[in-house]
Amino acid sequence: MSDPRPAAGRPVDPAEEERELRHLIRQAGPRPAVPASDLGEIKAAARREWQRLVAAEAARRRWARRLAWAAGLAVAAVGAWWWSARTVPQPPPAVVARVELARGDVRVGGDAIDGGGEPLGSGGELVAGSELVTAGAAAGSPGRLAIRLAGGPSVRLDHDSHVRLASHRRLELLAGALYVDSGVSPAAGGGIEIDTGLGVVRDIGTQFEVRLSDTGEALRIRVREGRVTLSAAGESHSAAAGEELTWQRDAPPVRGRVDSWSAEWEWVVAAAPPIEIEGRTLGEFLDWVCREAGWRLEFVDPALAESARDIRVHGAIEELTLEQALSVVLPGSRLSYRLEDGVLRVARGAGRLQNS
Amino acid sequence: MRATKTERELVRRMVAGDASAFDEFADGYLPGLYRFAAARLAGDRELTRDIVQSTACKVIAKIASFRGEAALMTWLCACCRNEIAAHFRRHMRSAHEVDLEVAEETGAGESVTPPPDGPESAAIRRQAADLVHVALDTLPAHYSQALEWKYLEELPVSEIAGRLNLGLKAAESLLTRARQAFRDSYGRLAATPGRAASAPAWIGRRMELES
Repeated sequence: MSDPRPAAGRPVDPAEEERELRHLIRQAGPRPAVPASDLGEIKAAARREWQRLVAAEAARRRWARRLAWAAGLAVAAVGAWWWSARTVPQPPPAVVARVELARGDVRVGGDAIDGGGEPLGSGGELVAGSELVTAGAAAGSPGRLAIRLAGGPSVRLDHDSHVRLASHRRLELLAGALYVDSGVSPAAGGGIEIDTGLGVVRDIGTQFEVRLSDTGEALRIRVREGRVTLSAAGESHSAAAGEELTWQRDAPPVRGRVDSWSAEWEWVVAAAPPIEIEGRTLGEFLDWVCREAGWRLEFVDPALAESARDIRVHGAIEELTLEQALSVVLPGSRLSYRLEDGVLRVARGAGRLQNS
Repeated sequence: MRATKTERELVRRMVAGDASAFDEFADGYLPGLYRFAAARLAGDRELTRDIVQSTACKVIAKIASFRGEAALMTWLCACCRNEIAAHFRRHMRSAHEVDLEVAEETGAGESVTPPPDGPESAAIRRQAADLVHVALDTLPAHYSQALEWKYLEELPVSEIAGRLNLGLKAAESLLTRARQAFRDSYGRLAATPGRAASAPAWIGRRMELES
């Protein structure tokens, strides 16, 4: 250590280096021994720490293995689900309605409104999400459609209408008009809803028409029987049989009167699906005619009301209007009838009763 | 100096729970760590034991994170230095740590050489010896052992080969590598400003050639 520093650039002499190193190490002497008791104490403490480390590492590895297993199982489960979802055929979408009458140009499909889609015929099944479009008078073959929703209600579309079947209980009126006959009593679980974009119309066991204006900014509801409610702009309005309710944004609702048999319902009658009368009772036939036409039935002879329930009618009335059907069926049963202010009067005897 | 493959393997075995690996670690590194601490704590045996124990436990707790970017002993010494500093910060007193740099500077820089038998010269010699011992402790155990056998016990190479269960050529090669490793370690320890001036001549030459 006392050697003078050499000049820079002087080559290293290995022998001299070793002599220096030997001198250095010898001068320092042996490394002092560490007290055995101190070292033992330190080693014992270190061993305890090492054992904790090993236990923690083992636990961490166990968890890592479990996580890896869990992740593997999850991946396998997802894969199996994906495979089964891919390979197992999905059940067909639920049928929510059936076509009872299709007249003129009536189409179904997402692009039906643009003239695409498939033509609809009687007996066709409709699934949730179906869009139904009836052609306008300008198309040369105005469309009218009658469908029966699952659960029973009858729905009819006037020409120039566009409806989406969201479900068997919910319809969206996108344009035109529809008519609902939900039966004398509301369907179990509640009536159907018509979402018009301006408001939602709910039936309470009734017959009614909902019509959107050409611009889609106004809504008219006509109630033939029973009662409906309209929920729009945070308010609720109801309309009863014989009432007409017109609603548009930022304006109070306007109410009016409408007869159940007036010309306003002609399109509904025209779109009424026919029934097979062969084997039915006269009473069933007359009830159907009056419900479709909005008439009230009266028997001139009260005893006739009872016997009508037992009279069987025969034949077919397809392609006949309601009045034509009456003129065919009643004389065959030796009965006559008269229409007056929405009242159908039936009496014994052939021919037509004279209107008073 | 990066950790050797042997050191990385030793750590891997320790983490895996190999008890023989722990013994290798404890027997091979803890004595050197103790001397390292003792040289900085002015012979305070109780404090040295506490500091080394604390250092060893902390190092083991995080040994799984050892990546071998420095030699294992270098890592242990760095942790020990931190532990000593933390101890004195906690106790708000100045360190008893031996300031090798000051000792070296004092020894080298004064124009008047202290009397060879005086207390100052004895202190300088003790610090220099500590430096050599720390340098030896930072070497792999078989390197430092071989150097001590060769230069302190003056064993012939054949005897060293026998003790290490090596052939003659392999023992000579090992001694060459051990000398080089010592030079490097000692050089690093002595390379701080002021210390190099007191280092042996070959330290300075090596540094010049390497630069």
